Amino acid sequence: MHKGSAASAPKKFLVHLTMAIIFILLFAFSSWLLWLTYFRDASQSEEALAKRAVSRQEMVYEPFHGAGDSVLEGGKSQSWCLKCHKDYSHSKSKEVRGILNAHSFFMACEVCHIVPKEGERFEYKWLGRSSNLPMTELKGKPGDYGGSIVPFRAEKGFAKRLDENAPANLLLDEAVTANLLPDESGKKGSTGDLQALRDRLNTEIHKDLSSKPVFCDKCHKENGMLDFAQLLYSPERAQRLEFGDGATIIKQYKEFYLPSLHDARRNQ
Amino acid sequence: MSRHGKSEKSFVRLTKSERVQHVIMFVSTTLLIITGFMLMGEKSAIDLLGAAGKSIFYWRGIVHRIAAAAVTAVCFYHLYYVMFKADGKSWFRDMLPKSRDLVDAYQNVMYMLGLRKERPRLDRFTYLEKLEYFSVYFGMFIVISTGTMMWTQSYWPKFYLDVADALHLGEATLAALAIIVGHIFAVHYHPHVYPMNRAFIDGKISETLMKEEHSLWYERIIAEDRSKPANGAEGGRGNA
Ligand code: HEC
Ligand code: HEC
Ligand code: HEC
Ligand code: HEM
Ligand code: HEM
Repeated sequence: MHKGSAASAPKKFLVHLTMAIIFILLFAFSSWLLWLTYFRDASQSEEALAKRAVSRQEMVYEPFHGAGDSVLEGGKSQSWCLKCHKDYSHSKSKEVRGILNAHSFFMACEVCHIVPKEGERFEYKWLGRSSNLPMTELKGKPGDYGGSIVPFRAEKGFAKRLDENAPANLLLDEAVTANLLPDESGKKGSTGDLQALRDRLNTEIHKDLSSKPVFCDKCHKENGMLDFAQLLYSPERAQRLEFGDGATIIKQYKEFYLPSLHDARRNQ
Repeated sequence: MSRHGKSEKSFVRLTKSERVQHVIMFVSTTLLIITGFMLMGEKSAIDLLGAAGKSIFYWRGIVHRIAAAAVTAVCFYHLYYVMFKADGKSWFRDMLPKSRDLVDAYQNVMYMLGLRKERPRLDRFTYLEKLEYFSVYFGMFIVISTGTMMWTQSYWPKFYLDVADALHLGEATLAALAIIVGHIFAVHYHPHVYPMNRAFIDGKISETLMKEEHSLWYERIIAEDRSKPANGAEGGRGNA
């Protein structure tokens, strides 16, 4: 339709309309691109970012293979560690933080924070959340089976639950009475001169913890730290949780100590 | 569509080979943009696809790779074209930036600001077209190399993949914006040709437009007297 061509009025109108619609669509897409580049990450929560990081990997490499939302969203961990670590910050990268926090929903903090010494072998079991009894099957959405994975250590013929620490709990009660712990608003509730109790508390509670917690690739591989089959997972689920060799998701987080470019971009 | 300006003479703007390259380029780039940016969608939006999402995203990955292969092939062919074919060599020669382009740019800005009465007289490729052409060169170099890295991601350390991903995404964003704003809006919504510049289909440019936008080139061709009639055979461009 060049200059001078005598198109009828309705036809002209249609052409203008189409061009206007195309224009609006392209304009909207361009605006979305700009928003993506400059504003999206700033406006999203850690959970949303963690979810997107994982779902993107899923989309790219194993489309919709069914990572349970519950695994990524998590729920509140039941751990008593949280009496103090209300807003525990797990690493610098928001995605990793979100994922680790979510894992705490279906495993005790100690699973990752107490690493077996050389030659030592822990046993890991699902314990029902309210019953505290070993579970025999996993029912429900991924990660959300009404229980959590708990580590046990063989001690003098007994299997000792590592997520329980009786002496520390006594101390903890003392601390509560002394108003040492953070209150609901997360503010440290220290009144008075109780530094000694505080120090004891910290050492007593943390003495078993490893300085280097377990990271993704220790579990998410073949013959990893957790025996997924023994942990009641179906063979397919178990295989999926191994993530395969060179899985990008692990790569993505393995060297998370290096500030990644994504973070640099995000933190600008 | 009616044939425009039957009586009007027209000139070859894009040879057949150039049009084929262009069509492959823009079909596959459009696909790359769509399938690439699908990955940036919100999970909640993607969930709306429901069960179909699984196969849509399966095909998304495959289409992105097929289109990527097509774009890569066309880029390599284009390099061959500008190095060894007569039309390609003249294309590249006319595309090379010259100091004159700076003058053109300056004069055109002055003209648009109303500080100059006449538009600068432009040759076959205007300074904006040259800028666009070479930014595509640069952009394609980036997306092809980084895309190939991500395609073969199990061979690369994470740090390099991070860099590749960031560059790929950054360049993809730039390229998409450049194509939409700089190319589609400028090419098709330009008042002279709206609603559609047909040059990329039939390869022709009208004498009017020629005089208006590429007067130097026009004169060059007229001087060489090698212009082609509208329905003339395809072939040399006449200004080699
Ligand atoms: C202590 C072992 C352990 C560690 C360490 C660990 N995970 Fe997991 N992860 C699991 C288990 C067990 C599940 C399965 C939860 C379920 O479905 O019951 C899981 C599930 C997941 C899932 C969901 C998979 C799906 O298909 O539903 C993702 C994603 C994931 N982990 C990523 C990570 C990342 C990333 C890290 C490191 C930051 C990590 N995990 C560290 C044990 C671990
Ligand atoms: C009495 C409160 C309290 C309880 C309960 C508690 N912590 Fe802590 N934790 C602390 C304090 C205080 C620090 C030190 C923070 C600092 O140094 O900035 C800390 C630090 C840590 C650190 C970081 C150590 C380091 O080297 O930076 C880890 C890991 C940790 N705690 C894990 C746990 C785990 C796992 C549990 C449950 C078994 C737990 N904590 C229970 C108060 C507590
Ligand atoms: C899936 C494994 C995993 C689980 C479960 C887990 N953590 Fe961690 N945690 C880690 C890793 C890995 C680090 C080291 C991260 C780093 O250095 O940035 C860490 C670091 C920490 C730190 C130190 C944070 C810092 O910024 O240095 C604290 C405190 C902590 N964890 C507390 C907890 C508590 C409390 C729980 C239970 C609610 C828990 N973690 C459950 C893997 C885990
Ligand atoms: C990656 C995508 C694209 C690239 C690299 C590209 C590149 C080019 C180049 C180098 C030219 C020649 C310059 C010129 O003759 O002025 C051109 C011309 C043209 N392109 Fe594209 N193009 C792309 C996408 C598109 C799209 C999506 C459209 C429209 C739907 C389009 C329409 C045109 C038209 C109409 C011309 C002729 C313009 C003229 O005569 O000046 N192109 N393109
Ligand atoms: C103009 C051209 C292209 C555009 C606009 C484009 C766009 C994109 C976008 C937006 C992403 C998502 C990036 C992210 O999530 O961070 C992506 C991913 C990817 N691109 Fe491209 N891309 C282009 C060309 C290519 C080419 C030439 C190749 C290969 C040679 C390629 C291979 C890939 C790969 C492998 C991925 C990883 C995700 C996947 O597996 O699909 N892309 N692209």
